[in-house]
Amino acid sequence: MKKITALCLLAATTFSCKEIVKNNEVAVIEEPGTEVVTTPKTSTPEPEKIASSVEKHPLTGYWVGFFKNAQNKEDEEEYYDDYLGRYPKNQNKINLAIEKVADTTVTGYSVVSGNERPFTGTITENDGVTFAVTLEEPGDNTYDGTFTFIMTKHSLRGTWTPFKKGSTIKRKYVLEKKTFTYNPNIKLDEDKRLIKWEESKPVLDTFGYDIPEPDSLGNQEINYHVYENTGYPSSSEKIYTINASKQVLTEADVENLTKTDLYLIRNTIYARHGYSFKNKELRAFFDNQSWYIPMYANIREVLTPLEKKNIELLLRYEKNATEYYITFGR
Amino acid sequence: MLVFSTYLMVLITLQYIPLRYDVAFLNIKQQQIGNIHYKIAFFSHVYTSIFVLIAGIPQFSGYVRRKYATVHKNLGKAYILLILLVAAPSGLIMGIEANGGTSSKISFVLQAILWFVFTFIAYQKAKSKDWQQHKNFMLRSYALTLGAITLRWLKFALASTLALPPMDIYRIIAWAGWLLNLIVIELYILKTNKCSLV
Repeated sequence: MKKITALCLLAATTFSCKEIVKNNEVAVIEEPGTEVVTTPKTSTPEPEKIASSVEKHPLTGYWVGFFKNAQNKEDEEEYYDDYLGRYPKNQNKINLAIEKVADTTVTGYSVVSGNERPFTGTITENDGVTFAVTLEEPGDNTYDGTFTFIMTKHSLRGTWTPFKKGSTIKRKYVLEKKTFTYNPNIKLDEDKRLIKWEESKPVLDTFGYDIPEPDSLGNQEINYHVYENTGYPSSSEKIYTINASKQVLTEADVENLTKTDLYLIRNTIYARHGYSFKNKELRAFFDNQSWYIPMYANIREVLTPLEKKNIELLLRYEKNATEYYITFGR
Repeated sequence: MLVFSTYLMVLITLQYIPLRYDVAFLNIKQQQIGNIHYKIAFFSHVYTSIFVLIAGIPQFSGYVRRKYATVHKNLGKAYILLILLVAAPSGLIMGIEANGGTSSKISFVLQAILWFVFTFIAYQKAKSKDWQQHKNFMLRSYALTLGAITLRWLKFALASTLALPPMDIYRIIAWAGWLLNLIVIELYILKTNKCSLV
């Protein structure tokens, strides 16, 4: 009884009373441009922006790869950990969509981190095999800049420099040509997590430590670290088996899923449509999926009726898990 | 502890005022809440049980019983009537449609039946002025009433330590919530009755 009282007092001091009954501090994260709209626009779903034509310049198409910190050498990549796994720092998947090449004029747009930016530029032939291309964004956004790259048959290799010095870091990239088609059958790659969910289980503030191998002198330095409380329990294998773009989900399918499971299953729907994520953790998670191509900042109109139904169900359970999982309640 | 928990239960109840079908627990009962019988059962259970819980608090105090006998009597009547007529039958209906599958359904149905039976026997014992048995059965009845609180603290403890999937937790607390209380009270009754025999 004393223990219980102590626990309650602890609980009472940690949370205000209303928070014990309902957690109002954390909200369900819903990405902009993914909202379920009940009255869909009359316009047909966004078609492939780049129409296929016979006389296409080899440059036209979607060029996809990682947009990296230009300062980093290939072998010294930095990593950061979040509750969805460990991912390389300062790397976002970019889609350089070249729409049209007319003579020496190139037009298109880029999609990265939830932003779509148009560009225009010029192409010059180097030696019949490679081309030099320079593309400029409009300049009315702080993060606009210039793409400069060399195009070979299979890749684009180059840099991006912001117009405004210091507004953001210089980038480098090697991009490959990809085609995008919406495929509801796509499943998550299981090997893309660099660390196991179980090892990063920040359910409550937990204190842990690593004991590394002793060095040559026999010294052992123990590194202590504190996991941050993100309120996200780890996810389960269910995220690989439940496909919310294909099967109609029922209450029974989702009632035993953790908040992270529900969250990832729902966001995988958006990723299949090529949604470019603004949320940093989601972006890192999906950028590292082999099949994922960021295509659009808005996919509201392309969600299928089945997906919309599932999204609403998943959101309802996510809301419940967010507000009531660690609470005094049922 | 009891007062604090009861206060939390009041907070939980207040979430359902004004009457709404899309809040809290009902978010994961959307299949059932559309049915009129579930609606009636749910809201009558929620709105009465809180008074059952509160009415029971002063009843085990000897001081209140001696000094304010009529208070004890009237609160007791309210407690018995609310359980027998509303809270236990509505609990039974909700138990039949409980989350967590057959196991938790059996648990909640059993709890509702025992709650009714214990309260009813306690009432009969009071009428026949068998005070020892009246007390014993009221202890059992209130132990089940307090199952509501134990279940919710257990949920809190399990979610914040083991972080099990939500429905796994629910299946555990569905049974543990009231069984633990009943075991504790049976041991208590056993002990005190032995003492009174000596």
